[in-house]
Amino acid sequence: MTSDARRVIIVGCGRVGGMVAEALLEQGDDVTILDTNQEHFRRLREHARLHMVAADGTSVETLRSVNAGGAEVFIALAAADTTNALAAQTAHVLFRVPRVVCRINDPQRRDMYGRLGLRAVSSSRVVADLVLGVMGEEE
Amino acid sequence: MYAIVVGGGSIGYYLARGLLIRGNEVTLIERDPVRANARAEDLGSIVVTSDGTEPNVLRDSGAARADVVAATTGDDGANLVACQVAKHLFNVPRTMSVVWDPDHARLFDHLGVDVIISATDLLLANIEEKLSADSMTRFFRLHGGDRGVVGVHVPPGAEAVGRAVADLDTPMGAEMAAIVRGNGRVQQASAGARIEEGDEVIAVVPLEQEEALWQTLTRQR
Repeated sequence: MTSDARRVIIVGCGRVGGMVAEALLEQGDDVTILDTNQEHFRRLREHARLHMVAADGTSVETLRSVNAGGAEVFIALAAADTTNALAAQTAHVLFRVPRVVCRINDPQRRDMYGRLGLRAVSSSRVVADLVLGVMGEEE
Repeated sequence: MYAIVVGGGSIGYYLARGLLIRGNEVTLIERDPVRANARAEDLGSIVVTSDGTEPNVLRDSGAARADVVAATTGDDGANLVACQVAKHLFNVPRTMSVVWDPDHARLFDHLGVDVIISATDLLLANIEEKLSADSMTRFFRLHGGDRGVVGVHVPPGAEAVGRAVADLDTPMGAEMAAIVRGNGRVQQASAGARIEEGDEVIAVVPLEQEEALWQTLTRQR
C-alpha cells in the first residue's frame, strides 16, 4: 500500500461493484469491498490493495470495523436501492466520509436523494438515456 | 386518522389491527404475496400487495393525505426509504420507523424520522428488567432524539427510599413524571411525593444523564 493511495469502501460486489473495484485498484486506490455473500468475491482477483470483507455494509459495527471514518470515498452498489440508501447515508452522516456515491435505480427516489444532497446514480436512467442516444444516432 | 403501515410482519400486522380497532383508516402494504394474502384474510381489503418503499406505491395508497406512515419491515434500509419517501415526496406529517440495528437510531433521527422504535433496545431493556429488578427501561425517545422517557425500579435499600421527589439528587435536565407503585397504582411525581422501595419512577431524561438518573434512584445507602 502506498501512503498516498485513496481509501475507498465499496458496498456490494455484484457486476458493477466488481468492475468499479478493479478500475479503482488499477488507478492505485486502496479498496475495501463488502458483500454479505462471500460467493460474490469470485468476481475479483486477489490484489495487495484489495480487502474483501464478507459482512453487511449497512451495519454501523461493520463499517466501524473497516474504519469507514478514515475512508475518502464510499460507494454503495448493492442490488437493492434500500440497502444503498441506508449504507450511503450511514457513511455520510455517522462516519462523515467526504465523498459518497450510491446507486438508486428508481428514478423518483434517485431525484429525491439528489435533492437531499446525496450523489445518486440510476442505472435504469443511464441505460435508458444510452438506448435513446443510440436510437437518435441511427435516425 | 389515516395511517399507512409498511410491512406486514408481526409488528405491522398487530399495529394495523390495533389502529383499525381504534376506528382509524388503515392501509397495510406488504411485498410478499403469500404473507399479504394471509394478512388480507384477517384484515380484508386494506392490504395492498406491493413494495411500500416505492414512490408510486405510496402515491397510489394515498400517502398525500396520510397522517402517519409507519415502517415496520425487518429491514432498516426499507424502513428508512419508506419514511424518507413519505416525508419528502408526500409531505406526510409524521413518520415512524422500527430500527433493528440500534446504531441506526441516531441516523434515522438525524434524517428526520419523527418516531423511532429500536426493537432491539426495547427487547434488551425488557430482558434486563426481567433479570434484575433495579434496571432501567427505555420506553421511547422524544422528538429531537436527545431526550428519552425511561422507567427506573427503586430497589430495597436505595438512598432514594423515603425521600420526597424534590429532595432527590435529580440530574440536570431530568424531570420526574410519574411513580408506579408496587401495587400498580400510578401517581404524579409531584415535589412532595415520597419514593418507596419497589416503585418504578417514570422520568424524562437527556440521554447523557440516563446513567446519573439511574444512580440517583438505585444507589444503595
